[in-house]
Amino acid sequence: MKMFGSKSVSSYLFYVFRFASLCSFILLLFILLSFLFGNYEVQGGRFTIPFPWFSFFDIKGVYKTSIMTSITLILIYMGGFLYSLSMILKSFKSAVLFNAAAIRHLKILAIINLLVFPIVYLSLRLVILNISIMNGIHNLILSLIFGVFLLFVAAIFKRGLKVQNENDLTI
Amino acid sequence: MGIVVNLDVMLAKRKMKSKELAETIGITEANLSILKSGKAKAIRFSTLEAICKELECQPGDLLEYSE
Repeated sequence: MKMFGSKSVSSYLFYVFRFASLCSFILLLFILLSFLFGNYEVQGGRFTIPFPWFSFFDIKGVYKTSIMTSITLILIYMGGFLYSLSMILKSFKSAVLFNAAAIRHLKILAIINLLVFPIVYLSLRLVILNISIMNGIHNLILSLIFGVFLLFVAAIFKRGLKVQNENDLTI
Repeated sequence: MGIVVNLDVMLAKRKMKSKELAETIGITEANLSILKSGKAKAIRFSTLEAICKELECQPGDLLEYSE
C-alpha cells in the first residue's frame, strides 16, 4: 500500500479530513445561524435545532449560554484541528516527502495540541461550564503527548530535508 | 572560503565548453553549473574521475583549499 505521493493513503485521507473539517465549520455556521434567526425550539429547558432532511440528526442540548459557547468552541477547535491535519496530509501528497510545508504544518499541529487544546479544555471546564478538570483529564494528557510526539516528527522531517538537500547537491 | 572548484579555469585551458563536458561525462548542464558555482555540497568519485579523464588533469587541478 502506497503511503505517500499521489493516489496514496495520505492522498485519500487528505480528502477525508478536509471534508470533515468543512463539515465541522458548516455545522457550526448552521447552529449559529439557527440561533440567530430563531430556527430552534425550546422545551423543558432544552433546545432542538431541526436538521434539514434528516430529523434523527436534530441538534439537541441544554438551553444555556455556557452550553452554546462550549459547542461553538469545540466545533471551532475540531474544524481547525482537522484542517491542520489535512494540510499535513496534503504536503505528504507531493512527490518530495521532506519539504518545508510538511515541517511547518507539523509544527502548527503540535502547537494546536500543546497550547490551543489545553486553553480550550481548561477554559471550558473551569470558566464556561464550571466543572472539575479531572473528569476527562486523559484527553488533555493524550493531547500533550501527541503534541510532543509531533514536535519530534517535525524535527525528524527537518533532518530529512537537510539530508535530502545535501543529496540533491551531490554531483 | 573552504574548497574552491577551479572547473572554469580547466575548461578554459582545454578550450572546452560546459555543455560539451556535461554531455561527455553524462551529467546535466544544471548539475555542472552547480559544481562550477561552488554550490555543490559534495562530488562523487565517479564524477571527479570522469571530469579528470575528460580534461586530462588531476583532482588537485580542479579542487583547491583556500582560507
